[in-house]
Amino acid sequence: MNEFLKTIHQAIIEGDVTGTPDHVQAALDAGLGAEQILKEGLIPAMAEVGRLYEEGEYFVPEMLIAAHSMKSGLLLIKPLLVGAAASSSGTVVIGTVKGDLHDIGKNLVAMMLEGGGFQIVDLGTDVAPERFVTAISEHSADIVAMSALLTTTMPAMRLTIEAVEAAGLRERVKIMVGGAPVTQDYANSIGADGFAPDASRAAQLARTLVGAASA
Amino acid sequence: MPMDMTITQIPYVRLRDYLGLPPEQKLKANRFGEVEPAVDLLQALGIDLLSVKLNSPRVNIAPPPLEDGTIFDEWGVGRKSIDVPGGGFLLEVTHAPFEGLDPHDVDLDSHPWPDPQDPGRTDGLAESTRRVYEETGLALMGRFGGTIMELAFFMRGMQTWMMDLVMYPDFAAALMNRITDIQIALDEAGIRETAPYLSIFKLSGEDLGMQDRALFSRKTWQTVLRPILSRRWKAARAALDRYGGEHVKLMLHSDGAIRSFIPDLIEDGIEVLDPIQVNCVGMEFDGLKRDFGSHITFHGALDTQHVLPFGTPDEVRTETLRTIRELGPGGGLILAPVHNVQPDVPPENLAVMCQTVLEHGRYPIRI
Repeated sequence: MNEFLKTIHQAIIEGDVTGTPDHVQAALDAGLGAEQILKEGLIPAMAEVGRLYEEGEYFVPEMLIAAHSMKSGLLLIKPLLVGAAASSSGTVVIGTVKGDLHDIGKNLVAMMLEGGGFQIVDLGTDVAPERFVTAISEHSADIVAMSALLTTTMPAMRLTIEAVEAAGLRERVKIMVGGAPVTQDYANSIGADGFAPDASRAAQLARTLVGAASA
Repeated sequence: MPMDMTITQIPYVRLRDYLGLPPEQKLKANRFGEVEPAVDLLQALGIDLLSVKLNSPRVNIAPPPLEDGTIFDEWGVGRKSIDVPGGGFLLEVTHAPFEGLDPHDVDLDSHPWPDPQDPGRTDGLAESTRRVYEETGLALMGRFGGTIMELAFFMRGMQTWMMDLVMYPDFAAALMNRITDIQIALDEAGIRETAPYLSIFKLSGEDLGMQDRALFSRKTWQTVLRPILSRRWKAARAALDRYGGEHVKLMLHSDGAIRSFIPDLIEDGIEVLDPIQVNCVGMEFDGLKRDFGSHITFHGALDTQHVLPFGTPDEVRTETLRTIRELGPGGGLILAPVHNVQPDVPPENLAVMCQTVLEHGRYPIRI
């Protein structure tokens, strides 16, 4: 691998929040393209971070720091990505459902997806079904990703899917769900297209869902 | 076998009605929406434990509420009430006093910390505890100081605090140690007044796990968290022993998949572990009982993610029997719902849980 890309890769994995943008800038100054830095630097680094998390070597703090490092590098190249939507893996509308303010899991998924080349529209927390629906149309979303941490807010996932159906948009998006009390069975029972137990597998699931959609 | 229950206001009102008990006039919910069950309900269900807590300080240093409904506590943490679908509310943290600051800019000395010596906290506490002890025959669980890690991330913002642990461990430790000093003093103030009457001392909650794994690496645990937390636990043990509470068992609450921490918790003096979150990885009952059952008592264990809220009464009964059968033999189980009971738990399910324990939770366990 190119030396610049190797340095960026290492900086993200080590969680070097301040150093990563410097290394990204150095790569740009040396003539590497923004898209190359994204696809050969940032994306593989985040896939490695995801693998380290799945293997039980990285925990939530380490993932957060690595993801923030990636984000600090991504900020520099985002404005330079030509036809950003065209070159991205897809657009994801993500949020924590109505009545629920928990956001770390959702934030990690958003960062992993962004580091995986997706465009992210993060609606935040306590997101009513109508706001998900509006965002799908407004941003031509490919995927809707919902998070809930509480048994008492999980029902809002079903309500959101029903609202998407009522708006005639269900065929246009893939819907994925996650959060501590959420299971594959629950996802099936509410008509979601997928469930992921952690941020790393959420990113893999998203790639599968858009791949299936375009097939 | 002993039983316990923590419950929020709406299901408590429904439960009283379900049991044919008269409605309670002056219900006061704490900031988790929890209410203290009245003795008549505890006796009707066969629940054995009652909480003993500190009173409010005479001087309230909490900043005044904001116009948008944010209310502050004495640590400067701000919360807003969020409606829970299906009824009730949760007070969620929305303002962290040290959020968004570079660690080098945080001046811990100038923050207005609560005064653990405020006499209001212990006014009348010894007398009221003695009365409850003598008049009700219930076992008492003392709970005085609050959390350390949770408060630290309430004050710093959870995401930032988690990153501090790895990026700025000295700062993370400094903040937690400042909190620990106050929690130790609060524990001691309450223990001094009540120790002889307590059966259990609850060390408050330090969540070490999430649904499927530990929240922290071994390195973070050993180098940053364990020294601070165990300092508080050992101080509580020393205070209990000093004030006539040598018989009192130390209980720790820790959510999630925490199996990997249990040997360390035992080593640091924990005798009762709560809540035994059954659906988490590594928290299967048979393994816990086999590997740790002779060292600690399990408090909790009745599933609140699936069975209690969404199961039929028969499913609740089956799960309660399973819990008793796998964690109960030989002693060492205080059965309780894993989480405080939320409005999505039907009163019938709670009644069936308690009834099943009364019928089948007698020693020796034969199920």
